[in-house]
Amino acid sequence: MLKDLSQTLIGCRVKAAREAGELTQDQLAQQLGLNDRQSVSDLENGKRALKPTELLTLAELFNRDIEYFLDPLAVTGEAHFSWRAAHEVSPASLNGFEQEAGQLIGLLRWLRAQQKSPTSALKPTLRLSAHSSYELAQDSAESLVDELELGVIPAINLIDHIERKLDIPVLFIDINVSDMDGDVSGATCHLDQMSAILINRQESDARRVFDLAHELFHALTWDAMKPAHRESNSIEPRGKRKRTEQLADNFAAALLMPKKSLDKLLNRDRLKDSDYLRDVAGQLQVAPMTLAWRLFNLKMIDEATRTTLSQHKQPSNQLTLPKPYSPTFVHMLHEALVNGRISARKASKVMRKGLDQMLKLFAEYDLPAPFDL
Amino acid sequence: MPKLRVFVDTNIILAAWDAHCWPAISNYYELETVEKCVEETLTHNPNDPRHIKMPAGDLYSGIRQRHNVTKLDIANLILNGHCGATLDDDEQQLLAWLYCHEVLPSNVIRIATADKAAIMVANQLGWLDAVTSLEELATQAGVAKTNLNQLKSQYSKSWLTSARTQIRLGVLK
Repeated sequence: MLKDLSQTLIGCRVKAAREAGELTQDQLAQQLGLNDRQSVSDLENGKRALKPTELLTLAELFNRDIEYFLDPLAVTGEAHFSWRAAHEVSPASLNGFEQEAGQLIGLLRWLRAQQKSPTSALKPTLRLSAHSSYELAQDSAESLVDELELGVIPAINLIDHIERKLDIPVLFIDINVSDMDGDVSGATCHLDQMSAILINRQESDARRVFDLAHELFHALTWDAMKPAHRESNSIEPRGKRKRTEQLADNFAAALLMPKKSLDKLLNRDRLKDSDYLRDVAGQLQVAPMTLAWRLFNLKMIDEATRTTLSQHKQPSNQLTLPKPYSPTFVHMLHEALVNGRISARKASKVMRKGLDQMLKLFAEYDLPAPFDL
Repeated sequence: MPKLRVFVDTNIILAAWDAHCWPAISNYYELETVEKCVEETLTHNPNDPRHIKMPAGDLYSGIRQRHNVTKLDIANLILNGHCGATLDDDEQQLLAWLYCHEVLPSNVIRIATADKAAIMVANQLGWLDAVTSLEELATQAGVAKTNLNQLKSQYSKSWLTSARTQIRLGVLK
């Protein structure tokens, strides 16, 4: 077993390259000059070490850089993204950003693998399918609020609980696509070893929280309902939105505004008072429009109130910029640099930051400079 | 007496240039490096506010030998040497060349790097004593102490001594 790059990971990449190249194990054995397909099977399962000359043969055969097989931070072909982006964002911009995000995810996966505490062998999933009703998606969210003990205002500790109890990392990132007419809200990224949620930290508090809950749905249902590579983040009529996205929206709404919380927070005598309801939305850390739809769907307010409440703006004091990435991620990276497990320049390139910017990031988290170069 | 051969990485080259001790150390030692370090030195991130611009002529004239590193060299370091996968390309290729050409350990060869991960890899390969600091190189080459005051701490002799001790004691892991 290599210390910083596992034989298993190399084996997975050999298998992925072979399958993409549409070769059988027998055929690859022939190409590598091996006795039989069992040797290839052992290679792919990480039971047999890959030899340097075999690596070069593979790279040439499958037209790949050797980094594809050897870089522990690479996730090419392994990471699958589902983005929430505005229509205006061009596919080229999104793909360009996906390359950057992929490197970050690769670093995250590697940092997690370096931790002493083993990753859970189990993967949490919701008991839902594409055929589930919207009501069932909402019920699942309400149950999850109880199971995770999210409390009356689920938004407050949602990230912490998602990371600790569901083992799904959440990263706040600056999403700078070149065509800034539109924005990218975030993404769910799925790999065999983990799922991760990326959130655009430049968005408003309420939108970030809703994105987080929405992406959580995708992370918890990826196998049963693999989302499209790209979905719209704008408000669209129900009929235009894909069913999986509608299920995710229903789930997110119930997760952030469970009936129990609404019962505790709402004065039933003031359900026509949109100013009052706007304040309740602020308490729940959701946008007035989000609360408006939730209450309307629960038949707690009428159409006129829904329309008025939807037109309220989010109070300006609810626009705070969270620290970049996450405390867990930044601490893991700091530890890796302090211990010399990754070179400062390599980390700096993956993060697309200069060395000074890296030091500023650690200072933001009150961490001492891990290098002085 | 032949000059000491010193293999320098990108950080060392740029810091030496920035501290005005490049001419002194390139005269005093046989400086060698790999092509990737040359490339990184000359194309070092221009968006970085600390970007140091070193004229190519000064770089080329100070380096006695620039080595080409093959894909097989890199594969050998990572797959047979079992290390180096998380180094930056320039440091990785420098150590890959040294690994594949089996020139270390040697009394007349040193590796100059200030990157902790590269020093960890040097240790894994049994070359910890071959690692040297820019401060040591410059002092030996006769550079005045005052010229070295502006060096960042990781280029100092004391930082390297401390890192070596931590590695030997297993503090870094």
